[in-house]
Amino acid sequence: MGSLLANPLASPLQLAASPSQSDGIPQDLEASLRFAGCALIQSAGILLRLPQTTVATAIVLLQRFYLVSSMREHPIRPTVSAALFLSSKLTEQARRPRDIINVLAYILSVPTPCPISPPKTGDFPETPNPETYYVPESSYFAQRTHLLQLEAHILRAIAFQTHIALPYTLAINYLQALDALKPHPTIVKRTFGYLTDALLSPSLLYLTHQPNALAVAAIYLAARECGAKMPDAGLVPGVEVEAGWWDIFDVDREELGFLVVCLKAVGEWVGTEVEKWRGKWGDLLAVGEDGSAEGLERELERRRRGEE
Amino acid sequence: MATKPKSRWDTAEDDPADLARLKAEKESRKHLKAQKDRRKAEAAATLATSTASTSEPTTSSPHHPKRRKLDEDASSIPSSTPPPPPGPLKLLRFEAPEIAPCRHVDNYELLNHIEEGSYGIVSRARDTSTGEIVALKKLKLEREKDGFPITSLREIQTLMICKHPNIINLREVVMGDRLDQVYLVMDFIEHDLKTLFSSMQEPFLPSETKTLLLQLISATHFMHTNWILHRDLKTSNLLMNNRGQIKVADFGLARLISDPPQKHLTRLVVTLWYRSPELLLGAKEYGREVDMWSIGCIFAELLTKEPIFKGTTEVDQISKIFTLLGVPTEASWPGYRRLPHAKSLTFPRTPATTGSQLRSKFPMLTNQGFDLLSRLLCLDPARRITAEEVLKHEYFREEPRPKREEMFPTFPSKAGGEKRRRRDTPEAPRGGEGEGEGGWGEEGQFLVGAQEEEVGGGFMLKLGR
Repeated sequence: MGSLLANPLASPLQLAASPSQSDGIPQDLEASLRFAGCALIQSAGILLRLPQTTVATAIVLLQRFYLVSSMREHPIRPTVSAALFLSSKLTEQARRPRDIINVLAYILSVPTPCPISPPKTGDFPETPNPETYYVPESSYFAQRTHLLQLEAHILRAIAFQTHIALPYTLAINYLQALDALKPHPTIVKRTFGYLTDALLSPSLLYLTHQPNALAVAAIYLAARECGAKMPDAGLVPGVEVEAGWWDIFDVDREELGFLVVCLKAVGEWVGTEVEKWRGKWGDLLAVGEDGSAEGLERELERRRRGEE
Repeated sequence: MATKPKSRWDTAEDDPADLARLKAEKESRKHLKAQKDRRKAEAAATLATSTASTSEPTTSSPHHPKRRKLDEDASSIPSSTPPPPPGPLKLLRFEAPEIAPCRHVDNYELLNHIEEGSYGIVSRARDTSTGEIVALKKLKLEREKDGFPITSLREIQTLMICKHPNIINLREVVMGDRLDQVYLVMDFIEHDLKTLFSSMQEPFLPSETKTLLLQLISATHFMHTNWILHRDLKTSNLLMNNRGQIKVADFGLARLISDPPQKHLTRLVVTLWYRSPELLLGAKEYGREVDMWSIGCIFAELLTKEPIFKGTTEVDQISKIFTLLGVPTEASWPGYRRLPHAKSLTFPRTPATTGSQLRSKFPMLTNQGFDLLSRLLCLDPARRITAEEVLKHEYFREEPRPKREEMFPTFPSKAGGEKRRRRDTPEAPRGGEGEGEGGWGEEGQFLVGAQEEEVGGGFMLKLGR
């Protein structure tokens, strides 16, 4: 609760020991699964013609949810569908469970631009055969029930704090204030690119930093790439302290530096993750008829055997 | 949960700004020096205080005021907000609540039912840890087939944003053992205006009306600046406590709006009697003006205790409005003929029917008061007064001034299960002005004189006791 511009943040304790890790999921696997969830939401959002606000909201919902829940108890895939369903309602862009479930099945069955879709091989024709991604009625009803349950679980886990402040519009405001929009029309696109990248960061930037800090960090990088000149540091009258332009937006240089490093690292991290699991995402995310995290359990079992 | 420990500055290959680092070093040196100086000064200061008050350190130990269960960890771990920046530069830091699951409804003990509606059941309850009395609203979710209803989501979302003295305070949302048991925990407020009217022999005094209207407007202004439409303002949704404060409640139809306005907002909003003419005529887009119309209706009701337009159907409602305010013309409401339902309705347009009868209905209202009322009940939504403009209206500055909240009378609470006692103190004689100031009991009489003294806060508070 509180300001429209601020978000509830994760506590250091929550970040240090996640419920999934306490439940026996190694940290790297948790990060991979979380990335899969976020990437799935991002791609599904595009196919569902949802605005980025809705997509980002769904990703933050998912991240907040796994701050208090285990991925073994609540598998990624149904949580993704529930997060999309809930965020579409919260942002007044309601989509039907049916469409969400179909789109997820599509992304996980045929090659799409989504990084976790199956890779393009000779097996897949140019126009995919609908049989490959058709969701049978019985499976649909099971998934739908699961989706609705998880929606309630998410709401409970976040104590109905459904307002999520996003940095996108804030960034536009800041760019206007910095007089950077007119001379550099591409700067918005780059800024938004970084803000969207930040959603995938393993450092859970949207749970650890307020939107104003994210916006400033994204602008900082975008401005450097566009060669946009940002205002020089100057002495603040009265206190006689030198302040950079980021200080004006209430971000200190320490926080800015940290975020800039994180933002720059996302691209490479995503690349290695995608490579690591290429062709295996579908199996990893598989969910059993009873709603258990089948794929994850298999992977855990495999690792256990590997250790022996 | 950083996967790899990230050092903040030493990733050489993608250092964002070497220049910046140089500068940072320079600054940190400067900062260090400043810190050293400060430490020196502090040491000197503590030395001075410790020698001065060696007997006192126990009293200044950190006190822990009643801590909620949720905060248990907060004392042992560093708070999630970043530490204040170095130097005297003050940066804005938001208070960030934590992310934690709902508490259980067992934290509250049920006392009695207040009312039941289509939206759910409201009961009075007691917080078992603090003993505070609250209102518990249980949502009806058992028959929901499409997940958590969007209207309830909107209600919770908007209420969480609305922290304002004249808006009902949503304390938290709690759940029962099952996922479909969801309760909103809100402050318990003794009355609602509608029920209060039915037990009052006379309407509120002009000074009281002003205070209540001002509170309603300030709540609405807050909602509107935060992009929230209430869409169901009416007297039964205005709660009132025994301290002269009203609280806007029931956000079941509220929602966030945007600019440019979203299309396809539902037209099925606002209780019929408080529904604006553009909604009745089927406007596809609407905005904050619909709430302002409802406030106009409430203002009129505050003056007379009776709803101003008691239509039975939509057609009846619009004809009642046009009868009183006159049938709109292209001059008084440009473009109204193009509204979907305007074509199917025909009203005689003669000088007699296009004129407004509003003034004759409120002969006792001052000119300023009437000006405000007629601008709230302006048929053309584009020309209807906004909440911000109302706050600046002269009506609230002319005599009688708005009555101070502390000076309001109290009433037995129906929701709290109290019986209404017969008021045996006779009404105090009216004050000098024809409109009648003064009021209930002795304080009222003092108030007549005290009122002229602008804000004699302390003085009047003492009298109220």
